[in-house]
Amino acid sequence: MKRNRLLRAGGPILATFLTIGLAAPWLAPYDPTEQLDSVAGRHLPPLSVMAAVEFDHGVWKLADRVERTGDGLLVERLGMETRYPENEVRNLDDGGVRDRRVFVLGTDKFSRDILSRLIHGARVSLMIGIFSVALATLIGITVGALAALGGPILDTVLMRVVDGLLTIPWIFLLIALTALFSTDTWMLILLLGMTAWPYISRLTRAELLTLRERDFVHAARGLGASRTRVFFRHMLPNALTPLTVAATLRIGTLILFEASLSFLGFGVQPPQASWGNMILDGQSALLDAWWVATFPAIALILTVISINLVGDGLRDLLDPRTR
Amino acid sequence: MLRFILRRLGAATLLLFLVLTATFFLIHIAPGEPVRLFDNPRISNEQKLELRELYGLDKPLGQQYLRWLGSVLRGDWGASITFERPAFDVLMERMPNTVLLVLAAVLVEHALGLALGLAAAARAGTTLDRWIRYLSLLLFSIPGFWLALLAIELLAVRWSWFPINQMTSEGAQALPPLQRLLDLLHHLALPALILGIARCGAVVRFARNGLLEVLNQDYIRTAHAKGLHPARVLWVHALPNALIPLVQRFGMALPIMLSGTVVIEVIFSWPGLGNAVFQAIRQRDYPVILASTALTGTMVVLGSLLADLLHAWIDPRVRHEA
Repeated sequence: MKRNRLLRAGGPILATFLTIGLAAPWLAPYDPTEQLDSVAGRHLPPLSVMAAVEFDHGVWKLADRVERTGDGLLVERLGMETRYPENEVRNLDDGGVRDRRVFVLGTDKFSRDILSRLIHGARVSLMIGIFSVALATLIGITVGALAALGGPILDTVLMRVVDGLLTIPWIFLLIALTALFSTDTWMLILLLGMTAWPYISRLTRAELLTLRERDFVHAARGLGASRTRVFFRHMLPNALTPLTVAATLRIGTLILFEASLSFLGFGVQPPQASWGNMILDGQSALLDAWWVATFPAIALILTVISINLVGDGLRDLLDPRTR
Repeated sequence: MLRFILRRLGAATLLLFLVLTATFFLIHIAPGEPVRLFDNPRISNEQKLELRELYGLDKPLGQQYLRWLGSVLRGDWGASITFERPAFDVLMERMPNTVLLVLAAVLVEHALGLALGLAAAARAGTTLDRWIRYLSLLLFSIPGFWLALLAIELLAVRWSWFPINQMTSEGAQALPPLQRLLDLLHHLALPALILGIARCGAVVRFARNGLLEVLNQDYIRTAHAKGLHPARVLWVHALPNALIPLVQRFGMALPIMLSGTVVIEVIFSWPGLGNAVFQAIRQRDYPVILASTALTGTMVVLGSLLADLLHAWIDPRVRHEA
């Protein structure tokens, strides 16, 4: 019973963020890159409700209050009143204008809605975490299996490649790669996945080397099972438990890593939202406009905590030795 | 033992050579050229051609590689394109700053991590244990750069307890030695604390689980049965054995630590290796990128060798196997 506690705590949080990520386009109230009015809409605090006045050529102004007067539209922002003739305003309504914006979590310095960016950021972060770990796990298991079972020469060569990759600090490698190649999200996933596999391949190799000497594997081989069958039916399933746990925990690491990369200005490029570059956006006004960086940081921390809880929970659940 | 060390060093040299070769071709094949030279609108096309010739960038890639290899073997890593000084000197100047930061951070990480982890293990199952485990999970999941931003904003900007960035105050050169040292420590405190705190979650875990495992062993029960004082059993019999996995972890920790320092150095404008490499990569400063790959690679290789030797020295079981 106790072993499920970690999963019970982490699972629902993670499930919530996954749902948010999957349903991002439908959940986000506004376009995450929409910059309506970067003067009046700059750094609006959470729960701001603003009237949105549309002018010709797609120009918008945000206002605290609008009112129709005899000679046109009265627009008030921070006590300053401006009057516009009715023929200049395109979304007039009986009481004022048709459109308004509710910024539940406030806006950033470009008047973009934090909540919408946060929701789309969840999609980007989780996508990068999950897909790049999937790629890394695939490469890692293949390399690890080839090293463990492909003979001593292949083993030496592959393990030296792993050593080589591990001598370069990962963030240097990624900064270099993202600086050299253009980076959309899929390219980033590819680069992260192709550099994150060494740990997984070491783990796979170690697990398979132990399994190779176990009695049931000898027995299977003695019964005349082919090498492929021994590997896929008898060895791999038994190595999957530690690999699943490691891969789950690795998702958290990668999400944090992507955030630091985006925070440094590499990684996910603006105007696309990621939690890392949102924190970068809020860095200059951390206390005056605390909501810009705080909400993505909280989302990031909660996601990574829940992933770690689920990873630890899976370890306890799947690995009878830790019970 | 000596043969073991020599073999490891030999393998590492070969490995570094391959890594450097791969890096050389990767950065030269990738699109883009050194930013400082070629993105400057004031430089005419003829001048660009001249500069290309000066840095040897006009030659075929294979020829460039051989030339580079030749000068590296003579100990010349080429001139930095941005700093206009030998690339290796630029890095060596900054290396002590990074080493200082990393050492201070490792100290914080282990002092804090061990204290919390051992307290949790000694009181396993209690509320204290639970809260320490929650705390370590939280620290494990907090991005270091967020912690750094928060600390700067509160402790440095708002309350002015610490300097905001850099390694020394303005005019610190003129101060007497003792005050200069204090000034340096004052600047070092915040980045080292943040880096150490952000990384200590894993140490808490290692220390707690390691000690708990050891405390369950028969020889500990024997020690208790002999009537030894519980404190003596804990400190003399249990603790040294519980710390062995931490020593092993130490070797792997260096490259990860260097990764963590980059972000902290950039945020705090710490004049270290990470900051220099960060700039070099942005500017496509080929000589600095290559020299830093060699330097960090060497540090990592030596670090893991040192950890293995330390491990063998502490743990007789490893020594006898080897």
